[in-house]
Amino acid sequence: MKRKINALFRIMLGIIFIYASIHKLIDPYTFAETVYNYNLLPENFVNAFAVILPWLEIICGFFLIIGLYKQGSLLIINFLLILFSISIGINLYRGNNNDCGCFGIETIDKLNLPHLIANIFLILIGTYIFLYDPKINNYD
Amino acid sequence: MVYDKKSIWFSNLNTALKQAALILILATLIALTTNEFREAKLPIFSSNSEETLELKVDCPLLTLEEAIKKYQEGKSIFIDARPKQEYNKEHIKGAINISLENLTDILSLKENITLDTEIIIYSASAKDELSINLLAMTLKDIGFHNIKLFLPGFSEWKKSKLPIETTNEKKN
Repeated sequence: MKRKINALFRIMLGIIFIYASIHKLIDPYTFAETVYNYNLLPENFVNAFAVILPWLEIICGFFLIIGLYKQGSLLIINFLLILFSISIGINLYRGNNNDCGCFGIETIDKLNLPHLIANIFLILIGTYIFLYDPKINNYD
Repeated sequence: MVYDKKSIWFSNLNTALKQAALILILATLIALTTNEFREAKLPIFSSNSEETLELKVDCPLLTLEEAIKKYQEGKSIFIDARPKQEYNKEHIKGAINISLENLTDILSLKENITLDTEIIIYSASAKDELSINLLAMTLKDIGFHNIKLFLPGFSEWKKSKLPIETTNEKKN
């Protein structure tokens, strides 16, 4: 049962990350602008981040779904989720109402508290899958 | 038993770190390669490049406050140097779009306004200095001589909640 829950969460996280990466891959220009508006990264790193992040998301998402390099993918995904949460938290604290950049540009996707809560929820799922790996708990 | 679990966990963490490093390298390689072959590729290290410095045009730079003042006076033409797709989504209210992709639009601009009209060029942000300078250079070449650059660009304008619009649907 635990193994099935683990796999379900893993695939769900994979799908979310692949979905989140698509608009960033299609329109890196807008995504770079969104990253810039977060006002956290030095200007010189904004474009590099905007180009590399979507590929990191899509590769990790794909690996999570097919079950290859699970641990490495989870480590990166958890790290990214923590990074996103901190970035959203700082900008909410600053009172910025810029685009979130999480899932798309077609819908109005402004920074708000539910985004932060959703990120924290995903961190909990990611941490659960990482810590309760079937290999350690002998239910694989 | 607890020790065994711990050691397995640490060994898993070690594996995870190695895998994460591999994934990071793979993602970086794919990202840089695909970006290189993209039609409108993002300059990875846009600012401080020699190319940017060499292409600097001698035009006055406007701060956000100065740009707002000019906008309120209503005598200047704002030119959005971002790609058409970006411009269509949203731009400074009343701005026209002349990006590097559609430079020929400059000719129609020349037909509609006099050469001494004040032109203010902006892009997404200061990191697009190269495209702003190239456009300014082209405008100067065809005779416009009252050109000013608003380097903070659209991101700062939008952040300050100043008037913006989309091509189809007006807002703010």
